[in-house]
Amino acid sequence: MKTRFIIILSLVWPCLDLFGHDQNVHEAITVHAADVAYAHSPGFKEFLNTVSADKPLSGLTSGTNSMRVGSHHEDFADEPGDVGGKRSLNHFYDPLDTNFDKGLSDIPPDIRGVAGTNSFKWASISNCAGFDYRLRPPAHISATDNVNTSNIWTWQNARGYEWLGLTATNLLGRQTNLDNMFRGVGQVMHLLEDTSQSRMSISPDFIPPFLRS
Amino acid sequence: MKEMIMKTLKKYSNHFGLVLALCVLAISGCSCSAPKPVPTPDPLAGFHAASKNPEQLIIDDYQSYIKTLSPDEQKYATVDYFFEDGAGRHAVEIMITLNHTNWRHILIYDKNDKRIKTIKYISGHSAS
Repeated sequence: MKTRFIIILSLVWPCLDLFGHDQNVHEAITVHAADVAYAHSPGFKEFLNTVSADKPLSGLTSGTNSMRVGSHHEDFADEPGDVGGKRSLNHFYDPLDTNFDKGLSDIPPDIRGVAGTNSFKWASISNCAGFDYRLRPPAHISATDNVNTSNIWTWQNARGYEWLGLTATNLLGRQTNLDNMFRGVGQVMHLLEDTSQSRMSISPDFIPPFLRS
Repeated sequence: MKEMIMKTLKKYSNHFGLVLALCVLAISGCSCSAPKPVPTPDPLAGFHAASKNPEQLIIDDYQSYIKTLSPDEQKYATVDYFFEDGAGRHAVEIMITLNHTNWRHILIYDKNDKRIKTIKYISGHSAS
């Protein structure tokens, strides 16, 4: 019985990520949204023109490219230099939930419990702390812990970078902070994009590399 | 002989599931690339985000570099950052997330925009 359970788990797990947007999908949505905003939002267009001396309107060093990069990086899992840990554990929001703080709480095969900070908090609280999560049996077979994580790419953090990007007295300081601002906005956009998919199952973070399809 | 084969099959029939799972693991495991360690020192030490977009020479070079990659890599390759240092050198960072693995390709150019170094390594993983 136990063997069959492990076999089913091994075969089903790699399929789970099919339910999430791939990073290139996020990037495409973000770039399109930025283009539409530029075409239809006078405020956004005016802001980009205002900072265009420090941040080109198009190309590799543009704000749109930084947003695209941010929407890709929001799916990082234990990337060195990123304090967000397994970021996708914090990509869930269940508005109807009253028991598990509205975040990820459904872990295969049938475990209920908080496993991540809800995506609204993750996106909107400055330096938001991730939920400290340690996998418990039987899911521990392929896992590492997700503890002491935080998000430095929230909406509030982006506002902080914006302030610095507009007020720094040297060019490099302005460019770096504007770059961070756009990247932060891109990471927040990723979280918003994730709400367009209905999914409340565990992330494939927990799948060992050799099982990832 | 036939009896022996049947006996063996019968003996291991209870473990069919286990054997199947091991086969799946073995096949999946074989498809993994050998990890390349993150280079030390950091290949981008001394570089910072560039203030202007790259010259056409550099654009042409990284575009032709991407065309040399495998079809899968080309599909997922994105040019993320353009860097400069104080000595007139530039660098381009290409990110390729393939099978949840983040590959970084760093192309470094001299002050004449000629590529002088290419570094490729696995920086981490992604999960959606």
